[in-house]
Amino acid sequence: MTIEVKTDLPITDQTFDSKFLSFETNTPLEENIVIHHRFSETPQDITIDPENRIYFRPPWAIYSAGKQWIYQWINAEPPFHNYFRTVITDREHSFLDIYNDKEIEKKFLKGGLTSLTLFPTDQILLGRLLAYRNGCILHSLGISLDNRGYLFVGHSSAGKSTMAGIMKKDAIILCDDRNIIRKKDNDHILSGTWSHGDVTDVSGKSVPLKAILFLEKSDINQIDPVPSEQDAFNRLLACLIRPLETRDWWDKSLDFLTHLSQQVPCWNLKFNKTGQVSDLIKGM
Amino acid sequence: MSLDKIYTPSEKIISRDIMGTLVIVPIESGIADLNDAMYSFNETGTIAWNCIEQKKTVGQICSAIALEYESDMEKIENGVKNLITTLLEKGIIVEWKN
Repeated sequence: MTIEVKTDLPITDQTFDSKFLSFETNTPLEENIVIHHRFSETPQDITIDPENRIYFRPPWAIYSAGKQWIYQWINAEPPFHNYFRTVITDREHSFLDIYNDKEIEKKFLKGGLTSLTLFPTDQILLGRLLAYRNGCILHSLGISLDNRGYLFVGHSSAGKSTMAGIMKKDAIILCDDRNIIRKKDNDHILSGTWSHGDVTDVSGKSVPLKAILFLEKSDINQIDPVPSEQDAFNRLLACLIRPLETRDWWDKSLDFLTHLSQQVPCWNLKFNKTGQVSDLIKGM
Repeated sequence: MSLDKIYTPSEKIISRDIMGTLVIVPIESGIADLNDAMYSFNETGTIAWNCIEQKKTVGQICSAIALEYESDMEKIENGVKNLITTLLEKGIIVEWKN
């Protein structure tokens, strides 16, 4: 999958942050999401019916409008005025027309943008559109070891960055904080994102996911199978990135996590700071 | 709490049987204080939940549990009322208004 960014204003070398360079390509894939940044008023023919609101939690409200969805950035207080941006997209999020106001235009012209959507984070877009494409984002460390993907799952302070530091001598760090998993044919594919944590190494590489490891800091290094698929599911769910949850998004995400916990080997990993845990991983 | 009352799942939750366990997640985080955005029920809780989905009264929920477990009715009623109170507080169920 590729994301193509178009804008009404010219894109220069300074427009987007350098962290995107690892992910940049000039060859769109067949599955190409188009984000079009427009710096103009929302079209007059777009009508929003409050009865078709499917999500409401400032700063976001989402409305269903025929075959489209409309996302509005709204004020936290009544009457919840729309400002900054309005997004028009189809059900699958295959395109996004983003109408940005003058404040966002100023930020765009200033450059150094840290998200492609110009939202505070691209997770909002990615997390939603992946659900419609057999995928999700997990709070995790992803690595490629000999072209095999390993996903270390855990919340903040679970040791993702520590583990990244240990593994980086032998493996390519995809991302130490947010990673994408997608089902493609019979494989689950692991990809990094540009939303990194303490370790700034990121990679646009995608590799088949061979194992999921739930991190636990310890005095010892030990790998054990998870007690059950249900346990694996619970722990994956706890680390699922949940952007603007709607009923259909949850339906698809729960299906995906159920299959993920049943089809990819899941392990509990106890590790200490000696670095010897890397031998255990390499021996898997 | 009257035994004649009927409660129904909130529109803001999804309930699913996932690998044999009934799992409930709030559609919007924040309707309940869920660290992991999920509830799962034990066996009696699952019976109660199935009854709630079928719009059974509190009394009927107690009877359904009494059919499966040997326990005195007073204990069952207290357990069901406690469960319903918790689910109401968390916004997982709402009172059914016919």
